[in-house]
Amino acid sequence: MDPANPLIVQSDGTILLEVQNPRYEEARDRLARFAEVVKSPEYVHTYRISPLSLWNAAATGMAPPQITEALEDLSKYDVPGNVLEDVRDYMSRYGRLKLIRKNGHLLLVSEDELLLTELEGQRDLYSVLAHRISPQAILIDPAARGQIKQKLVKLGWPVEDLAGYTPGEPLEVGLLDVSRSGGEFGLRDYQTDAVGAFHAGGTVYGGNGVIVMPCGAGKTMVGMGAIAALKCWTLIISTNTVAVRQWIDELRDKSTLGEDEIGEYTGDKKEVRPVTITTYQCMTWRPSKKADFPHLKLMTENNWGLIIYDEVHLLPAPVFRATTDIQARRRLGLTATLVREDGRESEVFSLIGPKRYDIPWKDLESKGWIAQALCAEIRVPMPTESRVEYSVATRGIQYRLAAENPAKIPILLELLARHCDDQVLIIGQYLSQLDAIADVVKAPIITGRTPNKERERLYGQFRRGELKQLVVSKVANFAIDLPDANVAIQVSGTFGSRQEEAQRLGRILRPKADGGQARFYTLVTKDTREQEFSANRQLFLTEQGYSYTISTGLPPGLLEDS
Amino acid sequence: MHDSGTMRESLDWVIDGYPDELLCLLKKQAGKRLPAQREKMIPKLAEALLRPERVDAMLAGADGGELALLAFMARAGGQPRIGAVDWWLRRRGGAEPSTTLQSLVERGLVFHVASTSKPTRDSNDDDAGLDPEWTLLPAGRLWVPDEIAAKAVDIEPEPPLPVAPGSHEKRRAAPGEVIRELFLLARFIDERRPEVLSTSRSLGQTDFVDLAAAVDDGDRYKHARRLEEAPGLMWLVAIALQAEVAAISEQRLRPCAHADEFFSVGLQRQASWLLDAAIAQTRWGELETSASVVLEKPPALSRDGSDLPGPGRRVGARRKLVDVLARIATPGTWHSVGAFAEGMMRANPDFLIRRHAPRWNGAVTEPEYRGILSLGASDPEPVGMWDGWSAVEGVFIEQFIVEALARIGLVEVGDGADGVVFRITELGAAALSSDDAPIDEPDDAPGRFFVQPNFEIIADGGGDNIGTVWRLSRVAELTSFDRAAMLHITQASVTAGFEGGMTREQITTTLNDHGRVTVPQNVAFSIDEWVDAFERYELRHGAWILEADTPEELDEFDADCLERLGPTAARVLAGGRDRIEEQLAERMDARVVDHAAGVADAFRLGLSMQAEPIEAKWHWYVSHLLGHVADLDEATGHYQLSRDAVRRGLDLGVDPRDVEGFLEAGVEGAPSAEQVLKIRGWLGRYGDAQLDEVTVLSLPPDAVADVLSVPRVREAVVGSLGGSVFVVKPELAEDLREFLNDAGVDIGAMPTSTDDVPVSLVQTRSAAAQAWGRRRWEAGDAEAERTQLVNDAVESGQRVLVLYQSVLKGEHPSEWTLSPRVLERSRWGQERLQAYCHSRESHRTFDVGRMDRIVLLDEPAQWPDDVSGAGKQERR
Repeated sequence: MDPANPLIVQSDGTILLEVQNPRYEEARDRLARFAEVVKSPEYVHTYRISPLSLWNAAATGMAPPQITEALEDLSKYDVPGNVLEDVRDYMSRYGRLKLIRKNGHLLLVSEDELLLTELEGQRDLYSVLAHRISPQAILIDPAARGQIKQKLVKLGWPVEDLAGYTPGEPLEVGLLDVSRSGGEFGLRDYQTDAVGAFHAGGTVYGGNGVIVMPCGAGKTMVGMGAIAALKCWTLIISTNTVAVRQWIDELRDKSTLGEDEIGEYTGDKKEVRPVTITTYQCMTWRPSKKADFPHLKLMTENNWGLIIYDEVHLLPAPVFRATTDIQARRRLGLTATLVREDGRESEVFSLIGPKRYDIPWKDLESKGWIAQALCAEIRVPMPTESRVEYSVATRGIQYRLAAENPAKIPILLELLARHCDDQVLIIGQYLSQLDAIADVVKAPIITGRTPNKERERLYGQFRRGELKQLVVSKVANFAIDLPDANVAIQVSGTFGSRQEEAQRLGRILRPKADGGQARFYTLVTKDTREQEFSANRQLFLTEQGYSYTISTGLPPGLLEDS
Repeated sequence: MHDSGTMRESLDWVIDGYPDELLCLLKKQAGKRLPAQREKMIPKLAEALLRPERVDAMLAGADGGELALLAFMARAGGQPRIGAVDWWLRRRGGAEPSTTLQSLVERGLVFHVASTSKPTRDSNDDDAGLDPEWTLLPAGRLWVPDEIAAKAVDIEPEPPLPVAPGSHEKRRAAPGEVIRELFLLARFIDERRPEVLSTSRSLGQTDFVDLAAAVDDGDRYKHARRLEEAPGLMWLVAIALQAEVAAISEQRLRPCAHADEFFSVGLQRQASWLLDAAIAQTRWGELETSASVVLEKPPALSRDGSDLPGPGRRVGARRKLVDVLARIATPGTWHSVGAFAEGMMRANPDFLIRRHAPRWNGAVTEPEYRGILSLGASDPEPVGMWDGWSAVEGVFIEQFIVEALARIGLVEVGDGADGVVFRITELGAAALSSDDAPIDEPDDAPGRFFVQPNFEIIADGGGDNIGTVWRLSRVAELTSFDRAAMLHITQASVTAGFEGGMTREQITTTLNDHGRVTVPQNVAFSIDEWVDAFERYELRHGAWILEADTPEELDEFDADCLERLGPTAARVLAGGRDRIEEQLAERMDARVVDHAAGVADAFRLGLSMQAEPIEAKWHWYVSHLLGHVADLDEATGHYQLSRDAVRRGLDLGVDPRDVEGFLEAGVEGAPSAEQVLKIRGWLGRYGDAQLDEVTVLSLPPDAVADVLSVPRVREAVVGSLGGSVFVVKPELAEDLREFLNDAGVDIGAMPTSTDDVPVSLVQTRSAAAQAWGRRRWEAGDAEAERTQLVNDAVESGQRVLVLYQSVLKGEHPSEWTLSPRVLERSRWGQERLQAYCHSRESHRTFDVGRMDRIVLLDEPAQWPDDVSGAGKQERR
């Protein structure tokens, strides 16, 4: 213990890490093995030691003394006794229950007979435990493999899943050193680390889990790395057709896969090939409300060795349910913002797997892997005539009136004038507002009703710099690769959605060819409900280390080059 | 009782022969009631037994070892357990302990108490498992009477703690700051109690009642353990005390309604209490971290018990250590921790774990610590009590001093020739002696906290940084208080800071000048905004307003004392009231009107609206205002209120609101309804009423339902006057007459209508129900009637008002105004009405069966085309 150390360990298991401390990086790397990042604002990052993080650590072979040593070595003050006791206690639970496969049967085994007896008596487990076949083993329905793990974790008993994975149809695949488009290619260090954390040397300790990385940090590359490491048939589920085609382009460009080995399974095409990319929308389509999901069987009817869930935080409920049935397949979730406004993050962990890798956004920014971003909130007063309408409206209408404040347009035009040489995305929530803006600024608009071909054409023009400004609705929130966009102006958003804010910032985070900075402006109507929601929206990014500059109107010099 | 000889002999016999019985009487621990005669003898016996010359004589006969034992027993509280005395005697060597004790008992210097309690499995009960053969000194406590104990201590004074030899090197650069902060806190609390009270009650989500309960119950509550770990816990406890939700009584924190006790004892005692509570709640220095022994928790159902001290015992042990330290250590002088532990062993070996009496199994067997095993051997073995002191209690003492007391700041620690050394700090000495602390109010130490862009504040070193955290907590919500304190800045917290008396500058200074980093721009901007919002609206109570007839008159007053609110009104600033009063006094005609106090019960108001001022309540303002709105009868001194007089007053510019308030409040008792009506009416409060003649249709009761079911009749009817009487539109009256006559409902001469009858747009269901002669839908015909009504509405193109039942049980029905469009029957036979809902502004489909009431409205139906649902309806 030394006051010069970077950590403070609190009695509730929270760990505070000082970013400006000389031992910050060492501490961050050591903490990453047994604690999870809760938030990483500018100066002090918060980690938490939770049962899940400890069990993950135990799964990678860590023992309590290593954690104790790390905490005591890095801590400013004495480490609370109860935290060390909790570390010992929780980690001792890992491995006491195992799922194994024996003679083709799935068994839950433990040397602690009383523990199995206790679990048999748990009401929550009645439906998933078949019957006791010996004092140390309970027969499990293979279809309940996911469910039982989920329920046992809730009861405080992690299961060491040693039942192995379905290997899947083998596939000869690798990553190219020089991409087909001619550029040098290789996974970056952190991408390699992420693939390694997921793969775990091909053992049963890996093979499932979630990788959390900022937008623009190359999650697609991590997915491709995982495919290359496992060399098996892979199903990739993404958010929309444009994103599907970007996956296909990347796979064709940077992997050894031939064109006939990559399939698109969308509304346009129904190809099933060794690596198939589809969308959540396609998987959850059904002819009527009471009908089955006809395409969901794609997940189970083919011998996939790996399923990749792109933007896993958007996982819809039917895919959730289908995922419980495919626990024997390797699963990789990719996301930048594991924040669900419905609070179902823990279900993602239990069904897809634990968080395997997470890295603060600012760390990647400092190394130049994502663009440095400056954020500003510009408060726009509401004109008096609108103010009257706002005052008498219901709360729901009030938000919309504030979001569509016409006084935002002059500010927007001024911003566009300042960034006339930049690639600017104008992002909004309401189509009427976006249509009006598109008319005023004479820029094309992409919304949900824009056909895919038209979208791709416009995105292509934007990427090539032929278009300087593009108005987009929330269809562009996810998985759109627009490397050269360097300014985003958010004119309205979905209430207080934190992940939407982060994803929108993500559109401009891909590193720029000239190393320039990205700028993210949010126009918010002053003294209205939009201002309250805006504060909530910013929470995720401020907790990732971003600062917002707030101003009323557009002062000179706002977000000038730093 | 001896029944022969003199009383003196009897007493001597009792003293010599029955000391145990005497003791039992004195201590009132005997289980049976003794004869009254003996009870009366007790004071005499005690007096005789412990008379000074007898005590002196007895002590004179004691040797050095016996005196030392008596002094030890005295310092152990005068009532040591046999185990402790046995242990002490064995460590000293010499005669068998039982022989020594027997000798002392026989000579009346020491008494023993026969225990009446049954053996229990309480780990620290010496009765447990004792050998019944150990009859010489049966189980129970020993007792040295105070008279003997005091003299023994005088003869054998407690040796001071020796100075540690050689040079010493301090281990830590400086001792902890908790004690300093406790002094400051006590001082701060004393000086600013009202602010503390207002702020501490709004501190985040901390519920101080729960906190106090949790602290009090120690291990019972899950979160209490976490709280105990927090070095700054006592700060929160202190806040709880200030919030008057907790009090210290019997040295324990208890929830209470009022903690006045805390405030009545003075600053030093407060600090001392806080220190005491801090010591009691500090968990450092427990045995968990001992390197020499391993602790075994006893199995839940074990009957063997364990010597592991519980939380209460550990708290007591820590307090005893501090007491001894205060007695024998010299402030500022280095002492060896080992020597202190040795001293503790001599002075109070039972302070943490009670000594067991040795077992008698043919020979005396060394007792063992139950549940404490030695480390180092291949198999952990029990630790003996005769030799295990340094491994068990010694480690506890060392850890308590080196970690807990050093962290609190009571001692500083170093390394010397004899191992670990310590010395009491200056502040520690002040706290131990309840002296005033030699400290000044500090400036906040810079660089002890971060303000982050997510509005979070992390304050490093919670317990050592209490002053800073306290200041921060006035503008931010405290969410966690531990080795670091975490706070969150919110609009509510900033507002609370303002309400607690902070200024914008203080908030800025608190955050900017002492933080480790500059306050992020978004945080600073938001705080400014919140401060502005706080200042935007202001409701001033008891403000003085100076009004003049003209701006020029107001200009004559001292402008420095006024804040101009308008051309003829200004607020008198607090510091300028005297000056303005002086200036008013110079103007002889000026009067000060206290609007806040009002003029209640100032006059009586008769039925004729004559106001009679009540002499006792006379105020010039009453005459002044009455004079404006009433005529004075100089003969009687009464004022006659009248419509003309009031109108005249209004014409002169009297504010009607002032007059209304004055008249209604000024009347003795409450004005009657008629008086209120007149006052308000004369003041023009009501609009003009209209009394018109109307066309009325009176129907035979039997014909009502049938007649009213005809749409053209309903079209002609405006509203019901109750029963079977209806108001009819004048322009349709003649048509109606013709129609009804034609239908066989003969109508006589129609009354002549005059002006237009105001048309009521909504006819209520009750009116309609009366029109039909029913109060509710009847079972059976309800469905047909509903359908008929809806159908009529569709055909006639009228709007309907429906009361629509919710599908949810118990939910209140909703009321919709609809423009019916199509009545259709579903495949399941349900009647469904497609209609435009004016309340929801959309096209919707309604289940006619759920319409509880249907009222046709005298308004044409409308189906706006620009509603999104319209197209959908068309497609259907």
